[in-house]
Amino acid sequence: MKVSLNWLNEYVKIDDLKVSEIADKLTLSGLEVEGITEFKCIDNLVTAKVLSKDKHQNADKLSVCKVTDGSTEYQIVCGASNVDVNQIVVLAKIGAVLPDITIKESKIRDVLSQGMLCSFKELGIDDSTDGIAVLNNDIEIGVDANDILYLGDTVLELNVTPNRPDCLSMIGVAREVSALFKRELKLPIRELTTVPSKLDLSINFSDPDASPVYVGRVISGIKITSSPSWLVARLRSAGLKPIDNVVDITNYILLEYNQPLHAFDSSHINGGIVIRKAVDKEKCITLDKVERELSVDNLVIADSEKVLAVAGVMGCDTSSVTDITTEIFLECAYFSPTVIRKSSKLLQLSTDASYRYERGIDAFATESILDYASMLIAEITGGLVSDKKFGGQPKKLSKIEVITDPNYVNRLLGTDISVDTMLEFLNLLEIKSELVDNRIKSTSPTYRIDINREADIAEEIGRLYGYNNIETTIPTVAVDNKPLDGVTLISRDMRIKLEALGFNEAINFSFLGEDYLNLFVKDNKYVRLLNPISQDMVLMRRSIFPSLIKNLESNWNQFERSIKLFEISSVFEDIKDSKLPLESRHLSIAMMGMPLGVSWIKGDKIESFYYLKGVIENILSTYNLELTFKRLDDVEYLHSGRAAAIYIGDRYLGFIGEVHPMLIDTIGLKDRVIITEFDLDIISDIHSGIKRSYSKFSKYQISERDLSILIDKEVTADEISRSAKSASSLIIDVNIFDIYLGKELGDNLKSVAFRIKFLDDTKTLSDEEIATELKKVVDRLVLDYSAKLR
Amino acid sequence: MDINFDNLEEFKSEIDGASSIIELNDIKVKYFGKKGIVSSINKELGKLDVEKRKEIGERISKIRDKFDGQFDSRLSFIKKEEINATLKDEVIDVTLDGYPYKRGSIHPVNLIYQEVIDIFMSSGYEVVEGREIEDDYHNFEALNMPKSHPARDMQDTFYVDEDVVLRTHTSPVQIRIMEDRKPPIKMIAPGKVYRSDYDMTHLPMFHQIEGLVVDKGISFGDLKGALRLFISKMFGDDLDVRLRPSFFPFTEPSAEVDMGCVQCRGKGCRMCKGTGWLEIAGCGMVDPEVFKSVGIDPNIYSGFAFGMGIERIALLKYGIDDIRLLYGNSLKFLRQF
Repeated sequence: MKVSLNWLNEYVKIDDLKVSEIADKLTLSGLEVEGITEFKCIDNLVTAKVLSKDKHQNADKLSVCKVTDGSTEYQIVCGASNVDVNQIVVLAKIGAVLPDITIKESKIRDVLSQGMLCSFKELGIDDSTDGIAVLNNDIEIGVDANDILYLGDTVLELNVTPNRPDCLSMIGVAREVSALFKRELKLPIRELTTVPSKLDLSINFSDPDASPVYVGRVISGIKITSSPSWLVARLRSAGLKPIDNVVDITNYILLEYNQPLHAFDSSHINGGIVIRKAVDKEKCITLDKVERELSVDNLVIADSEKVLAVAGVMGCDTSSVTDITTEIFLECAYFSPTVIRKSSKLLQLSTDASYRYERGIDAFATESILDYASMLIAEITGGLVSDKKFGGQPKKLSKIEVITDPNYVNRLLGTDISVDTMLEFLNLLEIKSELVDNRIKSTSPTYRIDINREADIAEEIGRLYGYNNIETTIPTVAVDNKPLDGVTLISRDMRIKLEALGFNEAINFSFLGEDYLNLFVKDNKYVRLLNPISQDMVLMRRSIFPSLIKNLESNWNQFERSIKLFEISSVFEDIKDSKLPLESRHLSIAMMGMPLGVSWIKGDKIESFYYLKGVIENILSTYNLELTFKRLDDVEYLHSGRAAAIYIGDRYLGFIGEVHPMLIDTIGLKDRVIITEFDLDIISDIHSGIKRSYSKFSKYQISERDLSILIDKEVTADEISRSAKSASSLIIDVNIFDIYLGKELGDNLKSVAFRIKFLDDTKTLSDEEIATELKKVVDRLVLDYSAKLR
Repeated sequence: MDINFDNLEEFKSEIDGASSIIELNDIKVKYFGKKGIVSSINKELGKLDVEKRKEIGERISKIRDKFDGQFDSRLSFIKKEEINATLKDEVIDVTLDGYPYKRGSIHPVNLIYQEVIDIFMSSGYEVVEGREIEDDYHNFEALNMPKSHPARDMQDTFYVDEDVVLRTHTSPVQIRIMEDRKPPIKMIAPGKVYRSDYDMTHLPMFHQIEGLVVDKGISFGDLKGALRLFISKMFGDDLDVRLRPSFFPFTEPSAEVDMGCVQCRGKGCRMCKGTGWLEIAGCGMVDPEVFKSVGIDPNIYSGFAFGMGIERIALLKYGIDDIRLLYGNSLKFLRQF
């Protein structure tokens, strides 16, 4: 909402106040001033008349005009295409200082120019690009154009919250200012004079709930012209463009009183008016020349043949006021906010009128505003108002009374405001209040649709008392301190560990493109957005790693060659028969390039798979989870030979693996990618807090023996280790330190060397005892896997 | 028998001349080894009378002491020389990089997320994260935002279907907690929220922290106290805080919270557009309608709620000038934290 202070001053005297004082007070009482624009007076600015217009000898697009201010004739070179003889224009004479330019006598392509004909943009009034400002023909020439353009004004840009539609109007803001500065409010008054009505018009309410108030008057003998300068200036100050005198007045009253009005050319109304729901698929062309298909949820104003207007949203072309209109029917109505909101949403058409109707206007003011508006139109268009008022109020409207306990107000605010002060504040805001039986009984003004309850009264009192005058206290609430919830705590622990291990945390949007996600998993378990920002953001991700792969790629393109990223986030999966999808918290890690970067330590020899596997084992080690890794060769997006499922016992936790080479190729990645992703909710489920505890350890000597065996290539490290351990209860550790595959071993065999650690709780083992245990191990490996000792 | 001790005394110069531990040991063997000079003397001793034996024995013993002393000092000298030589051989370039255990980083938004959580936890708030995809009821209706309410236009919503949305704020978490429990309640709900707005200054996904305190006798003054405490812990004690009346459907009275600009400390600069103030949070007293929808009696209990954006705090704290950097995930950005 743009508020001209000159205009505001007509309702409440503020011209003695500093702009900053007004702005601060408004901001601190809830009408936030988001911007202040000053329209400065410009010296040497006069109205002038164009006497002649000739082509510039050296430039096609320029013309050379002779203009007069009544006493002097000036030669002006003008670049605007709309300049024409007899126009009244704004002449910036030599010495005028415009916002972006200072006017000097100059030669433009060898032709003398003694000033400039200004556009609204050059004057700093708006940013219209339709050429120079052409004023009304009846404007005197040679007068100070500042007065005609109403320069020397300041416009405040207010952020009006949805609860205060009354402040979408000049008078609403004036009321607020009047209460804040305790100054008198002056409302505009017009005495209604009428002539006997010739026209009879029936108004039919087919849905009184949707249109509780609908009144109108006929104004005849009008002449459609452009508006007087004061009206044009007012509209421009609010950011509206003038159209013609009738439309401009309706807009003016919209801005002044927050009451949308609509003028119909009455000669186009056939039969009476009916306010009804549209018929499904009924069509109309609105004023913006768009054909609209309506539905039963659109309220329309219609005559016996056609739709005249989409109620509260926009008029129709068929009944609009044109240059030849001589008689209008002026509508002033109150429509149901929810009906207009639905109608406007369905048509995806939001207008100044619908915006205000949706938020709620003053239902009680329609009739008086109609009379006021009719008189204003009559005055400006030279028309006459007929004595008959059409339509009415089919529904009885009631005013709301609120009873407030003053103690409640002080308790809620934490204040000690006296009842008298409360009453004073409320009455300043025209909320008529009195004390009855120790309760404040209030009737709020009908334009304050936001005041219905005790809490609303408390807010008004708090606002005027000043939120910043309320004493600060510390709440004392008897609650037990609760520790962080499992998965929140685990997420935090993961972050700290992964940071220490050299991984950088990423955060990606939760939605990705369908085509992209289908590269990984293609099925219908994705949660889909109805209104995505773009097709790249249409499905909610079920895993994090597809996002991380994108990050790997973009970082690689920024010449990063050691990329190690992780992300922790909720992921989503649609589940049958459940309204809400399944949400689980995942951790994903992705690596590309050399894990340790370029280094004299041969970091590039490090196997990324095992590097990442080690990282997983490290970060989960404090949770005592007994992780097992089982080969995974049937996941479409993973390398069938380099992927593993991660289990805790028999519960699937997640996976680790290299991205399938085909996919690497499809996406266009330049190097192998290792990823892991697992479910933190499962970890939170299984473990009950990080446990560290002491258990007794043997004080005897650990004995180590190395074994080297030939064994089937397919036997895994885990199987060898388990087999060995199962042979002797004295084994505490088995560590493979060498694996060798060579042609001389044959195609099916490998050589594996490992170190076994033996320990007894009761004694130091003798060489003989160790030899016995070692033999058991060899025997078991022979038995289990036909291994041969090397 | 006459024993010649003259060549026995020669060991002095021999020891001094030894340049390695081996040479030194050879000298020891020469004198005191099984076939050494002293051993052969000892063998002769038996032939002597007691007096003489005693006299020679003592003499040998003295020589031995002398030898040992000299031997040990020479030994430690040689050892030192040898170690010094090794040290010279083993010089490394200490300026070469250490093993590349480079530190990674935690995302700046999560750093702030954790810091904010810690601040509120230290004041006794419980932390509840809640779900990100919500039904219309918990995201809107229960928060006094029926479908027809224009306040819904304040938040551009992503829809999954007519009744399911990506939460536009973390308030539904508070609704679910109030549905489940009776006051007193003192909680914060941090997490991701979504709005369909994506431009220079808006992200379609961002993080919020909302607080809720419900008990008997909770006042607007308490709300101010809670916010002041947070702002002073997060940004420093010297920042002013002010509240401006505003509107949220779920609170009444409602306010916007401004704090003194973190850059100019209230003097006015580009960051605060010359006002000296930065908008940091929205807040208010829980609207009676919200209490009614969760079955808490507004005649007995009152409460306050507040909400703020984590990204905004991260931008302010770290001086990040473009919000879109946050989720670009460039290592050049991430490594800085």
